[in-house]
Amino acid sequence: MLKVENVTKYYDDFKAVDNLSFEVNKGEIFGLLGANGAGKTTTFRMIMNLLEPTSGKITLNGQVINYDITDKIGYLTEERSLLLKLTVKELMIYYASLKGMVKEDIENELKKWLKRFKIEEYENKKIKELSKGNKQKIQFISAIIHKPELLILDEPFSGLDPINVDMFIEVINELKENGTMIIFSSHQMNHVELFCEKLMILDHGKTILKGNLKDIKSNYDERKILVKADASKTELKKLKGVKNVLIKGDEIELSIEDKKYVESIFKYITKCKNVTKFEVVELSLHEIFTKEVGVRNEE
Amino acid sequence: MKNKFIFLTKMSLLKKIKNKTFIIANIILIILLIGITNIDKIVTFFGGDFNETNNIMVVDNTNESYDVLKESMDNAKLIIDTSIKYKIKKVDNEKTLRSKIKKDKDIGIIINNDDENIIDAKIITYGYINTNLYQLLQSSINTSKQLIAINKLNIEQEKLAKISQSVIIKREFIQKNKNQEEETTNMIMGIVTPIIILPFFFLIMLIIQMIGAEINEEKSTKSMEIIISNVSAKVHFFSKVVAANLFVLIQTLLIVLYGFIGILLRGNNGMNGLSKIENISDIISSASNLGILDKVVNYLPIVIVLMLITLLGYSLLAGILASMTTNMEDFQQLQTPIIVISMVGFYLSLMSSLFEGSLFIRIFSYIPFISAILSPSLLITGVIGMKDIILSILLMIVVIYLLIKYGLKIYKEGILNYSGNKLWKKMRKALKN
Repeated sequence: MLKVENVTKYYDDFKAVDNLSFEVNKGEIFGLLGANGAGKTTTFRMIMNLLEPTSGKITLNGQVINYDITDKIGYLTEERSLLLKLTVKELMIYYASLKGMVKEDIENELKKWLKRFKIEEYENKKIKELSKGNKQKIQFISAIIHKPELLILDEPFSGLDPINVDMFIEVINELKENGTMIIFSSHQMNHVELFCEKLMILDHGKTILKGNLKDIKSNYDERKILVKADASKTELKKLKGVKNVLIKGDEIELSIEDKKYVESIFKYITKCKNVTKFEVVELSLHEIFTKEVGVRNEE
Repeated sequence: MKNKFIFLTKMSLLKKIKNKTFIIANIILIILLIGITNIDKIVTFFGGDFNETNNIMVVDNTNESYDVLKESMDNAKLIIDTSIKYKIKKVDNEKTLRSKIKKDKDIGIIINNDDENIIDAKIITYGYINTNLYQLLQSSINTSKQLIAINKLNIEQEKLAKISQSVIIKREFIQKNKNQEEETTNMIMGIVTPIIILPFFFLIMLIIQMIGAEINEEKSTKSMEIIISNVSAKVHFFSKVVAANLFVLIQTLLIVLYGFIGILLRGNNGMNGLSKIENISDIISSASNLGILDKVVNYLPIVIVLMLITLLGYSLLAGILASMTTNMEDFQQLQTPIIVISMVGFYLSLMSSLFEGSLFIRIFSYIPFISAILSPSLLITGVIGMKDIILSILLMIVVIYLLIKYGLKIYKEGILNYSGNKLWKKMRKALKN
């Protein structure tokens, strides 16, 4: 288990991370979200032993992070961290050897993963000759080749087409099933929603939201109602609790302040003609994120 | 961690050795060095005149000068230049002589009696001739004139022998610490200096550039994040420094090896053949006779030690500066002071004879980073001795200790810093930690 306990990090007088605490268990994907400069990278760097926390403690399976422990961690950085002049094989030998792997195992594992990602022909190609998506695949392989116990994925789908995103998702889920602890960070909230059971949103180093995705969503009183009916936008706007009305094709999207207004709105809609849809949905993670981070930034 | 250090060092070294630039540079170097050591053969192969014999034809209108001239030339050749080959023969008259001068190697000499019934001469050539050959002819003709004059004045054989005997020249130095052996040492080192100092200066440039480029490559590609998360900054720093120094050492040994290969390719001629170019064998044999060669051999190891630890110092400094920069362009700017320091050493070394005896140059010879470049020249001119070199080594060791102690703090701070803002402030803070 990864345990981050009351971790604070100062850069001179600037507090980059403020009293951060969370846990990631085996076979769990934890979402660490935040706008740019929220303190995510600083947190990852502290977990990777690149930075020392000003206060607090980080342990992996009960042991304080040191250079023996980091061998058990895989790190996919947000910006590509590949040595462009090396070939794929040379780079993999370089990075995986630093994780304590022997050359023979590296070569075998590399072949397996290149095949899995359908890029076997690039084994002896220089990194600089690869496309953006293929570079990301190589970076991903370099983070998982040593079968890490903890995997940090910072924007893993950057530069990937939808087919490759699906490929990555499949692998990430496999790793999860095999017991790997995964910390996932992305600005694409739909990706986070896809496989993060637990998450945390940071803003200016502070935790502003934390918990299970389901609980976070259900705890929000705001709802959306999707309606297909012959209803006037102007009339709908006048209904109590309705904040906004959007026409999306043949569908009307109502934003309501609280779920308690659903019943009254439903009663109104039933009176309209040609009603084919009435669906109440929770706010998406994207909306919750925008709402939380946006409000605080306004403050 | 020890294994990771070895791995990082090996990886860094192999990366440099496998680099195309290194391979191409060494192909050029081996061709160049074999070429230089066999230049005479190459020139001959392409129709040059290294081995071509000069055909000297003499018209002796005095009927007594030819044999004297021939003997004088054979004697003078031993003194002036051992590499000139010639055949000398008598020709009946000027007309025949002129008809036989058809190329540069055909040289005609016409000897006539002058007004005082001794001799004067005319040299006829096809075009320009070698300066050494002209000096040989001029010297031989002068000697011939003297011998003929002595003979005509009826000087006794005994007196003639005394006159012909070589002058014994004794050397005396006002300065007590000077002696002829040292003078000869200076002569030897004077030849060796361009072979040692210039390549050493280039090795310094090479090591600075190499470390800067490698660290900045890892920083700019952010692969530093992955590397430093697996090994400490200290291990990373020393692996880069050790790899760069090993590389420079390998390159130096390869250059020496190429030189030896070049000499071996000369076959049986070996160093004797080289004497055609530089008279090296003459100098070596005279130095050996005077016991100076032993002295040079004694000086060289300590100079090499100073050079090696200076290279280490430069590499540590380059590594520290590279950690503070975020790309190669920034490093190029930041490395300027180191380049200037080494250039000061280089130029002072070239001009060291101008400052002979001055305190200024002696003080400079102790300054770390400069000492290794300057010391060989000052040894040549006799300004410094063994004790001074040892002092320079000790000072350099102190600087290396300080670089490791404080530089490592800067390296740890700088290596993961990607911003040029408040750089010096960050470094000062790192030093305080």
